[in-house]
Amino acid sequence: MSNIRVQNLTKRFGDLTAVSGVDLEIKAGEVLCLLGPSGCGKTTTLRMIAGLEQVSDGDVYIADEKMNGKTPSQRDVAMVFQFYALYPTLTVAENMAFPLRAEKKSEAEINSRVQEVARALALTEVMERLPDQLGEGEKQRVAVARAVVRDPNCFLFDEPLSRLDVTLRQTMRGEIKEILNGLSKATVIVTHDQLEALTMADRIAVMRDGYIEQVATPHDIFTRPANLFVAGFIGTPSMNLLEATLTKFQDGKASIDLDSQKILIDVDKAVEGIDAGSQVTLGIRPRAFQVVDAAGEDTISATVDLIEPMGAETLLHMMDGETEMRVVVGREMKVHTGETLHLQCKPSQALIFDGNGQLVLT
Amino acid sequence: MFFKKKDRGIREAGWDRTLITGVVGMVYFAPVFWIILNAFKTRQDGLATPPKLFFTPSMDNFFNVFYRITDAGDHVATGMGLYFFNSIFAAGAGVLLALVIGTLAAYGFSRYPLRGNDTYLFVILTTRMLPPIVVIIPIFLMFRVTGLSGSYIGIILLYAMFNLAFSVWMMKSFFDELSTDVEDAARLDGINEIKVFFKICIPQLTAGLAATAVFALILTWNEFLFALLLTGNDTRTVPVAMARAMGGQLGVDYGLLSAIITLFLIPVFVVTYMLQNHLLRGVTFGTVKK
Amino acid sequence: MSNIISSALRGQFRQTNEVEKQQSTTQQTGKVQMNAFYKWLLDPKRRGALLVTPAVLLLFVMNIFPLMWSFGLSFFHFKASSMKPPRFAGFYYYEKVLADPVVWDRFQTTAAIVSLSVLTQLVIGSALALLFAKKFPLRREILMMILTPMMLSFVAVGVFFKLFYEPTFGIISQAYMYFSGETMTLLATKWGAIAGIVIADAWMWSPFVMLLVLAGLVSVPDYLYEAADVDRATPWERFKTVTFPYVKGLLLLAVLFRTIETFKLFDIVYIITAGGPGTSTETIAVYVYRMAFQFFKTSQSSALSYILLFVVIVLTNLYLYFVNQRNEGAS
Repeated sequence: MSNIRVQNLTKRFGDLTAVSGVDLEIKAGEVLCLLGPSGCGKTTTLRMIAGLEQVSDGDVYIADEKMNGKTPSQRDVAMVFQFYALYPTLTVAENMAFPLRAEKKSEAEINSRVQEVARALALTEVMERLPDQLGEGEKQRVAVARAVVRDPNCFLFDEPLSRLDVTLRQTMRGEIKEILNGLSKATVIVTHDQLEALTMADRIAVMRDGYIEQVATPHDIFTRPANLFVAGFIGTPSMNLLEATLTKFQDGKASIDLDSQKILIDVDKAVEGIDAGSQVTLGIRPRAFQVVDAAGEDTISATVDLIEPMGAETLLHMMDGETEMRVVVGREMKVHTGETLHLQCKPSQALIFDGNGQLVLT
Repeated sequence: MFFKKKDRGIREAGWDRTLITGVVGMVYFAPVFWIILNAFKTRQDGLATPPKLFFTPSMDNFFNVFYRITDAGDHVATGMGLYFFNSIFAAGAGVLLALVIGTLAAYGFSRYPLRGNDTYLFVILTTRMLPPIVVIIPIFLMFRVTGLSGSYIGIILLYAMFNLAFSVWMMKSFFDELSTDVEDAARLDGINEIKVFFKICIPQLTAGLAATAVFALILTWNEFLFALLLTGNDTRTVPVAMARAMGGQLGVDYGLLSAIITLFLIPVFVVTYMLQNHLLRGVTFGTVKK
Repeated sequence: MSNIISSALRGQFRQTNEVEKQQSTTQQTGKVQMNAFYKWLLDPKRRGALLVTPAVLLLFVMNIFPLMWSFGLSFFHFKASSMKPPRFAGFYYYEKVLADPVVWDRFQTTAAIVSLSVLTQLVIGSALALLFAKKFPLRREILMMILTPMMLSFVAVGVFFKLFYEPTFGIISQAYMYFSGETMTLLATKWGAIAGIVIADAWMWSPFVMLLVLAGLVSVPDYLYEAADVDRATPWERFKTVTFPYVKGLLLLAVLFRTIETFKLFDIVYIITAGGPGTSTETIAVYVYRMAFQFFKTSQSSALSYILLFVVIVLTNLYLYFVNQRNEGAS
C-alpha cells in the first residue's frame, strides 16, 4: 500500500525546534497539502519524510514500513523540488530516464516509459534540450515528469508552483491534480499559497511554528477553522475577528457586546457551554455580510473608510469606533467613504472562538 | 563576469574610451612586448643604442636556448629542454595530486561540515598565506633527512602541498554555488553517494575544475623559491634556470634570456586568455567570487 | 556503502544478488567482517571526516609537521650545516632576534616597500577600474592586455625590470639618458632601488586591485543609478551613496590581500637588487633566506620565521573576517 504515516515527528536544529510532534496519516490516493507561512517547518517535515533530513524524534512510515535511519534512495519516494533540481548537464530525456536507469530497467522499457510520460506532459518537443534552455513552465513539467516516470511509494512536492506566473500556475495546478488523480499514491504537497492548497488537496494540514494547527478537508478548513490562527490565515480577504463579550445565549442566538454596540447573532449551539460575561472572539468572513436598510438588533453599524474595487466585487474597509472590519459587497452597490452601513450576518456564518482562541463547535 | 553582456551597473561609452584605455593597455603591455622583441634580435641589434624598434627578426636566440655550438661545430643540448620538461612534469603531477585530494576535501567541507569546519579551512588557507621562506626551512631540513632533496618525488609532493590550499578553497567556492537540491533529487532517484559525487556534482563542475587546475598550473609554473632550494641539477625548473642565467655576472646574454622568458610566457598567455572569466576567483583563492 | 548500492539496484538485480549470496556462503564470515568495517567507515556521520582526511594528512606531513619540528628547533642550538646534536636554548633565539637592531631595520625596509607598493597599486588599480567600468568597443581585448602581468612569474618580472634598469642597455636608463643626458643608476641608491622594486611590484599587481574594484563597480544595480539620477544627485553624492558602498568591501579585501602578499615579497627583490645596494633593500623574507641558507643560522632563522608566521596569521584572520562579513552581507 502506498501510504505515509508520521508520528510525533520532531526536528531540532541546536536550540531551535523547527518541527514539534507532528502526527499525520496520508492514505493511498490521497493528496495532503502542508500549508503555512514561511518558516513554519513544512518543508522540514517534507524533507524528513523524504529522508533528506534526519528526524530528531518520532517515526516515519512509508508503505507501512518504518523508514527511520533509511537513506532517501531506500525509501523509494519521488519528489518535485521548489527549484526543480533538474540535472543541469543532462537533456530533458536523460533527466526523465535518470531514475529508471538507477533502477536498472532495460533500455526498451525506459524508452517507452519516458515517451509515454513525455506525451502526457507535452514534453515531446523539448526532449533533447538542456534545462537551461527551457522556460519556467517547461522546467516545472520536466520536474513532474521525472517524478511520475517511476512507480514510487509516494509523491512529495515542495512548493511546486511558486516559481510560475499566475496563468501558468492555474494551468499547472489543474494538470498536477489530474496526474495525481490517475496515480492513486499518497502525496504530500508543501505550499504557502492557500489557493493552491484549497484547490489541489483532499485534506489540508495548516502548520505554524512547527506545530500542526488543524488537519481537515478544504471545506472544513474554510468553514470551520479550528482556531484564530487558521481563521485568520485561510481566506482572502481574511476573516474579521472581533474582540467581544458574550452576554447571553438563548435559542441558538448569542447576545454579544462589541466595542460600542450590541448584536444578536446566530451561532453554533455549543456556545451554550460558555459562561455569560466571558471574553470571546467573533469571526465573520467579509463575504458573509449583507447590507440592510435599517439598523436592527442583529446588525452592526460601521462607517466606510476606504473603498477598493476588486472587479467582480468591491472590498470595503469599515470602521466601528476603533475596530476595523472588511466587508465584500457586490460591484453594483454604490457607496461613498464616510457613509454608515448596517451589516447583517448571513445565517450560520458567524463563528465564536473562546478565550483560548479555539473554535466553539459541537 | 566582466565580459558578459548583461553586466549590471555598466553604462555605454564610445570609441573615445577605447582610445584612452588602449593607450593605457599598451603602456601596461610594453614591458612584455619589449622582452619579446628582444628575443628576436641578434646580439648586435640587442645592444644597439638607441634601441632598435625595427630590425630583421632572427631565431638565433631560440635556437641557443636549447643548443650551443661547440668549438668543433657540434650541436650540444644545453639542458634547457630538460628544465622545461621538469617544469611541466613537476607542476603537472603536483597539481593533479592536489586537485584530486583537494576536490574531495572541498566536497567534504561544503556538504558535510565537520565540527570546527571553519578552523580547518582557516588553517589550510594559512599554510598558503605563509611566506614560502617560513615553510621552506623546515621542509628543507626534513628533505635532507629523508633524502627527498633534489628528487622528483620531493618537488611533486611539495607542489601538491603548495596547491592543496588553493584547490580546496577554489573548489569549495564552486561546490558552494551548486544547488544541493540536485544532489538530493539524485539520492531520491535511487543513486548511491559515490555516484552522486561523480555523476551529478563533477559534471556540473567541469569548468570550475578546469579553471582551478589551470590556475594552479600557472602558479606552480611560476614558482621559484621552493624550486631554487629543493631541486637538483636534474630536476631544476625554468625559473631557477632563468635566475641562474641572470646570476652569471660576466656579460648576461640579454637576447638569450629574453628568448627563455618568451618561451616561458607562452603557456601563461594561453592560460590567461582561457581563464578570463575565473581570474577574480582564482587570484583571491576563491574567497571573492563576485 | 554496500547497503546503499544494493538498495539502488532494485528489481531483477536484487534477485540475482540473492542467488549469489546463497552460493557464496563459505566466504560469508570474512565478508561480514569487511562489511562491518566498511559500514563503520562509510557511516554518513563520518563522511565529512573521510573526505577531508587525505588533504589534512598531506598538509600535516608536508607542512604542519615540518613547521612544528622547526618550531621545536627554534628552542635549540642547531646549525643545519653541521650535524652536531641540538642543545636546548630556551627562548635565547627569540630574545636574540627581537633584540637585534638588524631585524628591526629589515622590518622597516619591508614596511616601506609594502606601504609604498600597496598604496601605488591601490591608486592605479582604482583608476584603471573606473576606466573599465563602462562598455566600449574592444574592452575585453584591452582588459586582457592589462591583466597579463598578474599571471607572470615573479622571476620573469624581476628579470624584465633588472634588464630595463641596467645602466647602459636598459630601455628605461636609455630613455632617461636621452632626455637628461645623464646616466641613470637607479639601483645604486637605497630609495632608487626601493622605487625600482615598487614599480615592478605595482606594475604586476595593480591589475589585481583593478579586478576587485571592477567587480564591485559592475555589481552596482542599474536601478540605483537611475534612482540617483531621478533624485538629482550630484556626481559626488552618487559616488558616495551608490557606488562606494558596493566597492568598499572589495577595496578592503584587496588592500589586505596585497599587504599579506607583499609582506612576503622575495623573488622580485632577490632578482632585481639581491637586497642591495648593501643591505638597504633587504626585506624580511630575503633576510630570513640569507640567515638560513647563507649563514646557516638555523635556529635563529626558525625563531624569526615564527614571528613572521604570527604576523601572517593575524593578517589572514583579519582578511577572512572581512570575507565572511561580505558574504553574510550578500546573502
